[in-house]
Amino acid sequence: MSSTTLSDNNELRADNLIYEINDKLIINGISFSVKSGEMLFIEGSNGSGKTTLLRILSGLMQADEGQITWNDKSIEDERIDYNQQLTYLGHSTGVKAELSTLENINFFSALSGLPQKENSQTAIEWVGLKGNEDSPGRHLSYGQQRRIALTRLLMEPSQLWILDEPFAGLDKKMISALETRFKDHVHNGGILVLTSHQHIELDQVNTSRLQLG
Amino acid sequence: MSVKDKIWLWFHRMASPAYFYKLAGQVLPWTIVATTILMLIGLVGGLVFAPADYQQGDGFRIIYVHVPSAWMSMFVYMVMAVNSAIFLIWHIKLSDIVARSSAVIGASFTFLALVTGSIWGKPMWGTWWVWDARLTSELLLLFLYLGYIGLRSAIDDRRVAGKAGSILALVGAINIPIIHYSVVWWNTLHQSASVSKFDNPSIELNMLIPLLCMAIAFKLFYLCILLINSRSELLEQEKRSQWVKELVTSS
Amino acid sequence: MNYSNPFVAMLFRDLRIAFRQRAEIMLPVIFFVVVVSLFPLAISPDPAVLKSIGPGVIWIAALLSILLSLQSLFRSDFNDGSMEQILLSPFPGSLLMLARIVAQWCVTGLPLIIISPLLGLLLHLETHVIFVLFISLLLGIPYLNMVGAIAVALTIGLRQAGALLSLLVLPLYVPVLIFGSNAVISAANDLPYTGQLLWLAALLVLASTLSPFVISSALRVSCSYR
Repeated sequence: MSSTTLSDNNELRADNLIYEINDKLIINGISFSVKSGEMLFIEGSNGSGKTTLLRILSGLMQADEGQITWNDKSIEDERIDYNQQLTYLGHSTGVKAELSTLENINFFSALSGLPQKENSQTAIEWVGLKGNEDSPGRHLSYGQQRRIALTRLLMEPSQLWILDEPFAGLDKKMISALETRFKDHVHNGGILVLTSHQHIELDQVNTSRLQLG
Repeated sequence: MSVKDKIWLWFHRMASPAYFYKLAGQVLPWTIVATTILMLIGLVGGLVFAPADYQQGDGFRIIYVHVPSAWMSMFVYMVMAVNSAIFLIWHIKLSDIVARSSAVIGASFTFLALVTGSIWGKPMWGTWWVWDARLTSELLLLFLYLGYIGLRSAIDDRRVAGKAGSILALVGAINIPIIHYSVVWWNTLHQSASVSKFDNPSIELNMLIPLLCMAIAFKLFYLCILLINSRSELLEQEKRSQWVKELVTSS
Repeated sequence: MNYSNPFVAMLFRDLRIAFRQRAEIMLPVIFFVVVVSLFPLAISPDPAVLKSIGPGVIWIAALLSILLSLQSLFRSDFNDGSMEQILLSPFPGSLLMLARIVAQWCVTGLPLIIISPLLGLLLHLETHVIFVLFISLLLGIPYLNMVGAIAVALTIGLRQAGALLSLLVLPLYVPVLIFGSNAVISAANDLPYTGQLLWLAALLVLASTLSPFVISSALRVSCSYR
């Protein structure tokens, strides 16, 4: 596993975020800050607004009030810069049913606009999809499709990872490989923001927790 | 303070919901009174005092409704588009409210213009509908309004509906001149010059004054509806803010 | 950043996907041919009649085929989450959307244009008229694709998208329909038709400069809603 050191003075900060759906306050005045080398773990029951919060942090949705800054610049003003530093994995994998594993991975990497950190073959082996390089997405299980999406964590040298339920649909072996990858990322100065139903504990990782709902 | 600063100050004040709510409440009664008076003058002047047209007899009197509503149909779309642009650029909620309430009013005026135009067509051309450039443009404008209303009501989230609607209104505003021009051009090809309804070379003063009164009355009527709608929408949207709470507890 | 890479990647991705669903990309063309061949049955097989209605019939059928093909534009990207990744990429959304529209035009618009001379023959249009028909579709159909994509971007993710889409799109198609079919009618009557074609070209330039930006901001709005 390569360990390029990421720049170690980044900061993602949220100030008093408010978001309501159908007159119900889903996100009620949340503020936090995560810096390089830290992990933010967002906990909460179903419907507590975890996904909404992550989508707001990624810039897909806009909060009703409050603001999000990346290195003291509003993410809306510096969208191109922010998107270049960001890897976001949502519920939907973004894997096209008609394209093969390799084609899907290559498209992700073209879209990221960054030089690949690892070649696609290494990434495919890492997620355990060796032998499925040419299978179209529609022949793969949900777990396998998620693994395709996860190759981005190996290939894109981005600073900020925002991951929505990254462990969903994965087996024990993949989960532990992922945990190792998370540690590497944070220790190299990356920032990790994630939600999970499972209570996860990464030792030697500077973790802050945010309870929603 | 320079003129520019004054304008900006006014703009900021108007954008503040509390200030607008208060101002609208003060202006509203006067607007209603003015609308009523002008409409009475226009209707009595147009239906009673204006002489009958030498060609169309009393049938022409429908222009006192038709012409002002046709003018309004375009004017309201313009207001809608300008407010949509303001909303997209400066995120001023009030503009979104104005655009949204305008759509229904504009569609109603357009519909009224179509109906009166087609009723008027019966004595003039002996048929309920003529593919005349103005009526056809008016019909397409109605479709644009209905599309806007349909899009907004299909989206439940108010914020998204506002932005999507604004984009659509602007696309429509760019297209309206093109649609209008193409329809007029198409019409000149397919129709031998028919009696144009509005291009009367000289209109008598006692016909014109009621018409202008009606036109202004229609504009003021639009303003009334806009003020009433905006006030109630503002209360709903700002229900969590301090000024609404104070307003409710004090009354 | 090199902007040609993501453009090409997006274009090839979409073409690849389209060609792997051959049945679906054939649908608009088949629809086009079927609709046009219904008119002689409904109105009259008389060559004189067909000659006079032919230009309008072909133009309306082309317009409806494009409308049909719009239904699936962006749909799968929206459902499988690719759209989120596209919007979160560091490249301008307008650039990627332009690639998407070009791909869409290649698989839905281009076949219509290519097959249109054949339909012109079926409706007894003369050779030089068919040529004008071809040019008018060549200039007009990309406009239909681009303006239609705006409406799709605004309605994507809505439950009743289909009917609403037609309401949003059809009034905006009126100018192209008027100029397009009129160019062909003028050619059939030996009248000048260059003006209409120039209008189509002007509209195409307008749409291709503005619509990618409008489409990408409309998609950004639509995707901010769940």
